Amino acid sequence: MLHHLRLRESGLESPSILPRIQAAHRLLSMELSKTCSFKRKFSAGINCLDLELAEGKYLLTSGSEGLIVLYDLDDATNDVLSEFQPVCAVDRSSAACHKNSVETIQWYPHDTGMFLSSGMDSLLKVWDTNNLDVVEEFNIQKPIYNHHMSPIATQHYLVAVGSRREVVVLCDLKSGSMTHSLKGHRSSVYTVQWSPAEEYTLATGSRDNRIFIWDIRRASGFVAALDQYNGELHTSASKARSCTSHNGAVSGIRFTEDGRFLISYGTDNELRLWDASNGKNTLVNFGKIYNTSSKGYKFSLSSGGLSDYVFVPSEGNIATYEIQTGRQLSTLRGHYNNVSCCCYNPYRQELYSGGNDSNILVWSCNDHYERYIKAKSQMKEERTKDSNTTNFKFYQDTWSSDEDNEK
Amino acid sequence: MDDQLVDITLCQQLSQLITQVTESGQAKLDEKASKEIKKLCRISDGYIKQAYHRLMTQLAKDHAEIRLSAVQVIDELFMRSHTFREALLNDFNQFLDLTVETNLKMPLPPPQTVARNLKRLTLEAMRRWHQQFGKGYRKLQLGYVFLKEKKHIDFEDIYARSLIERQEEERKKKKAEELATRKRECVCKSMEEFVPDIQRILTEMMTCFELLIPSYRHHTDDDLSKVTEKTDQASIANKNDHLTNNNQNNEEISDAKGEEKPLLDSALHHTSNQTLSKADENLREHGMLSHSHNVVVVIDQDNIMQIRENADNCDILDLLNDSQKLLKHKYLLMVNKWLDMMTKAQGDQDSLYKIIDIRDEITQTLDKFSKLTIIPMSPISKKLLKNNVAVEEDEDSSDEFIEVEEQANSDNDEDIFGESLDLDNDNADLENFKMRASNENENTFEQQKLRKRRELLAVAPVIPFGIDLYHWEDKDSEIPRIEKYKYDLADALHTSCITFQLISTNTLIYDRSKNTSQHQFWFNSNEDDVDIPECPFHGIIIPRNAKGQPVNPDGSVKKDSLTEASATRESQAGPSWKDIQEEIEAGTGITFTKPGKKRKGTKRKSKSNLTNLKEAKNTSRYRLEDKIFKPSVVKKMKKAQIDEMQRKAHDKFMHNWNYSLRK
Repeated sequence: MLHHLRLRESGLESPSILPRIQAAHRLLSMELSKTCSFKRKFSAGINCLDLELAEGKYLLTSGSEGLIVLYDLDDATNDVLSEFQPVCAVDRSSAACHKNSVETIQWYPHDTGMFLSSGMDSLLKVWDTNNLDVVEEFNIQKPIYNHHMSPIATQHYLVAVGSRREVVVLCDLKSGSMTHSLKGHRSSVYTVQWSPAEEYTLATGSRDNRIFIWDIRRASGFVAALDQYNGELHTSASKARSCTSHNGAVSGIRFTEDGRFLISYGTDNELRLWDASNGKNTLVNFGKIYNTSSKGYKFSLSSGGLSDYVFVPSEGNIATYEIQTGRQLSTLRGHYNNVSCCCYNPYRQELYSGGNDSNILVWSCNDHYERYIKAKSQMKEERTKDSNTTNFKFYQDTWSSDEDNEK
Repeated sequence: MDDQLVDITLCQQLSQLITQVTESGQAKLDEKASKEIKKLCRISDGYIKQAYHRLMTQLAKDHAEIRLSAVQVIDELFMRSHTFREALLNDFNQFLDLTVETNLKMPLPPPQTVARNLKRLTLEAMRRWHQQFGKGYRKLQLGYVFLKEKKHIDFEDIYARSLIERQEEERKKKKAEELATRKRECVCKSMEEFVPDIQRILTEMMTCFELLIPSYRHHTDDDLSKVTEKTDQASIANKNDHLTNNNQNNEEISDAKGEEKPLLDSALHHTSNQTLSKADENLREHGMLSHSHNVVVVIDQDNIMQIRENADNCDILDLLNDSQKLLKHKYLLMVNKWLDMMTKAQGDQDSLYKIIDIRDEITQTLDKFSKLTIIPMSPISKKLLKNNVAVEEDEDSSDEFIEVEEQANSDNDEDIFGESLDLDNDNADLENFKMRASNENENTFEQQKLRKRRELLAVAPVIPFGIDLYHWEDKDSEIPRIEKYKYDLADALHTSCITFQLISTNTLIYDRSKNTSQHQFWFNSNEDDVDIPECPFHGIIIPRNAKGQPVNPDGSVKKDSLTEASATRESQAGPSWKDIQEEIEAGTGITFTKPGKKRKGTKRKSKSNLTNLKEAKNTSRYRLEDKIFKPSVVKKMKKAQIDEMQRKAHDKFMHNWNYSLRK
C-alpha cells in the first residue's frame, strides 16, 4: 500500500489505482462481518434488498411477509461493533402494506424520496418515502416477479414489470397508466432489467428459457433473442423462435455497470455472460452453481475493484466469481437457508444478503477489526474495563491444565 | 504458518484415534482416548484441522452412534480451540444438518433412540457454546438464533427437560431397585414359610412311593429268600422287572448274559446255602435251567407300574393323591413364581439355586407320580370299606392299631404288582406268571406240555446255539433282511424307518466289531463295511431299545443331534447346572456367564461395537418386502395387469362387434 502511495505521489500511477486496489483487496477478503449486523425485524424470509446509490446510506428490505423495512447504514454508533437500526417500517398494521410476499423493491433511481415495490399480490406500488404512503398503484392482475426502473433514463419514466403474465408490461409513472405490453415470451417473466448504457434497451428473462432484448421504441417485437449456442445449433429458419439462453428457467439477469455485458443465471445451474452489444454468448465457464429457485434471484455485481465480480446466491451460500474469467473466488457461507438476494455496497465494499432464514447478513473485510483486536491484546496489561475487551478472550485457546501435567 | 509442519505419523495416529473413538458405539466417550486426541491437537493448529476433517467425515456417516461420539469429540475440541471453532462454524450448516436435522431431506440415521439422544446432546452443546462464545462468533450466534426462531427450538426448555428427565430417570431407577429388594424379601419370607412344608410333602410322597413299590435295592436280599420260600407277589414282580429289563436289552440271542447274570448269580449264591436239590427244584420251577436257555416273556409295559387300589393301600394312595395335587396346583406354581420374581429382581445366586433345586425335586416327584397308574376301586367298595373301618372303629378302637400295623406289613409283600390274587402255592404262582408271560391266551394243556418239555430239557445236555442254528432246519423260513427301498410316499418311508428300528431293537442286536458273520447273515451281504441304513428324515438309523433310547449312545451321539440331546438329558441323573443356567438365561435375558469367551466366531464378524443396522432390517417384513417389491416382480405384475386389461377391452370390443353384426 505504501508502495502504491509513493507511486501515486510521484505521479507514476494513476490516482484511481490505489482505491481500486484497496477495494479489490477488501472484496477478496470478504467474510461474515464481525463488527456489523442488522437488527432483526423479520420473522419470515427476505426476498429483496435495495441500496440507494446516491449516498449508499439507506437500505430497503422486504420479505415474504409483506413487511418493508428501511435500514440506515450510517446510523451505527462510532463503536467498533455496530448494529444497523431500522429507520422506518411498513408493517401489517398499515393499510398500504402489501398483502402478500414482496418480490422486488427498488429506490427511485434519482433520489430517496420515492421507492417502488411489487409482489405476489399483483400490485406495483409507488411509495413516498417521507410519508411512507402509497402514491400510485398499478394492478397487473398476475403475481409480479420483478420490476425495474431504468437508472439512467431521462426521457421516460417507465417501469418494466415481469409477472406471471407472458407479456412484459411497461408502466408510465408520468401518466399513471400501463402504456406498453411487450409480447414474445411464452411463460412467466422472472426478471426484467434496463440497460445502464442505453435508456430504451430492456432485457427480460423468462421461464421459457429465453432472454430477449427489447428496444421499447420498436413496436414489432424484441430486438434480439440471446442464443446460448450462438446460432451454431440451429438452422436459420427456426433460429429466431427456438433459440434458448438457458436449459432452464432464467431466474436473474444483470447488466454490468458499463452496460457492455449481460449476466444471466438459470435453473440449469449455469451462469452466462453475454455481450450486450451483439447478443453473443461469450462462453465464459463459471462452473456449476446450484439453483433450485422457482422464482427470480437477485444477484449483484461489484464495482470499483480491479475487475468486476459477481455475487450469486446458490442455495445457502453466496458464490463470488470474477466476471471476465469465470474464476470462483470464494464461497460465503453464513445463511442457514436459501439465500434469495444480495446487494453490493460500492461505498464500503460490503455485501448485504438476505435469505429464507430471515437473516440479513453483512459481508465485509474484517481486517480492521482484527487489527483492533490485536491492538487490544497488546494493551492487555492496561486492563481497561472496556466492555469490548471481553471479546478478545473468545479467540483464545483454552486447553485445560490437566493435559499440561500429562505432558 | 505452522499448519504445514505436521508429522504424518502423528496425523495418522490422530485419525486412528478419532476413528476408534467414534466407532466405539459407546454412549460416553472413552476418557483415555479423548485425552490422547486433545494432547495431539494442542500441539499445533495443523493437527486440529486434521482432526476437524476426520471428524466431519465421521459425522457424515450414516450411523447415529458414530455421529453421537463425533459430536462429543467435537464438543471437547470446540470448547478448547479457536481454530477448531472457526473451522466448524465455517461448515456450521452442514454440522447442523447432520446433527439436529435442520434439513428435512436429510433425516438422522438409525438407530432412532441414539439419534434422538444425538439431537438433544447437540442442542445442549449448542446452548453451552452460545453462552460462552456467542458474542465472539457471529455465525454461532446466527445459528443459535436460526434454531431458536426458525426451527422453534426452545433451548431453555431442552435444558430444563433434560434435567427433569434425568431426575425422573434416577427416581425410576431408585424405585425399581426398591421394588426389587422388596420382592426379594417377599420371596425369602415365603420361602422360609413354605419350604419346610414342601420338603415334608416331598418326603411324604417319597415314602409313599417306597411303600407302594419296593425298590430293587431294598429287596434283593430278603426277597430272594422269599423267592424260595414264599415266592410271593413282590418277588415275582421283582423278577419280572428284571426280565423286562433283559427283554429290553434284547435277550433273544445267546450272548445276553449281562443283565441276567447278577440275579442268577445271587440266586445261585443263595441256593448254595441250601441243598442242591432244592436249587434244582427252584430252577425247574422257574424254568431257568441255564443262561443259554431263552425265555420269551412279553410283558405289557403299562402293567409294571400299575397299582390296584384296595382296602390296604387306599389310605396311602389317598394321601399320595392329595399331596400330589397340593404340589402340582399350589407349590409348583409358587416355586415357579419365586423363580420368576427372583430372576427379575436379580436375586443372589444361592437362593436362585435353592429355588431351582426345589423345583426340580417337585417336578421329579410329580413325574414319578404320573408314571404310576392307579386302578381305582369302585366307589361302592370303597364306601363299604370305609364303613367297615368306621364300624371297627366303633367296636374297638384299640384293635385298629394292630390292624393298621398288619396292613402296613402286608403292604410290603403284597399288593405291589398287578392283580392281588390270593395265590399261595408255588405252582399256581408260576402258572400265573406264565399265563401273563404268554399273553394269557394259551390254555393249560399246552402249558403243561411246555412244562414237561422243560423238565426234560433240564435233564438234557445243552449246547448253546445262536439264531442261525435256531433256523438251521427249516429252510423255508424267510431270512429277515433290510433292503433299501425307494418309496414314493414320505410316510411310507417314515414307517419303514420305524419298523426297522423295532426290528433292530427287539429282535436283533448286531455288534459289527464283534461278530461280523452275524451281521453278514442279517444283512445278507458279504461286505464288511455295509452302509448303515439311513432315514431321510431322521438321519442314520441306529439300534434302540424299547424306550427309544439308543443302545449304543457313543455311536449315536456323533450322528444324531436329536438323539444326543435326549440321551444326554436322560443319562444325567441329577440336574446339571449348565442346563438350568441356560434355561434361565434364555428365559430372562440375564447372562450369568461372562460374555466374550464363548462366541468367537460371531465376534470376529462384527468388529465394532456399533449397533448393526442391517440386523434391524433383517426382519420377516423387510425380507418379504424385498421379494415382493423386487423390480422384476413388479414389472411382471404390471405386465400381467396390463395384459388382463387389454384382454378385457378386446373381449368387450369383440362382444360389441359380434352383437352389432347379429343385428
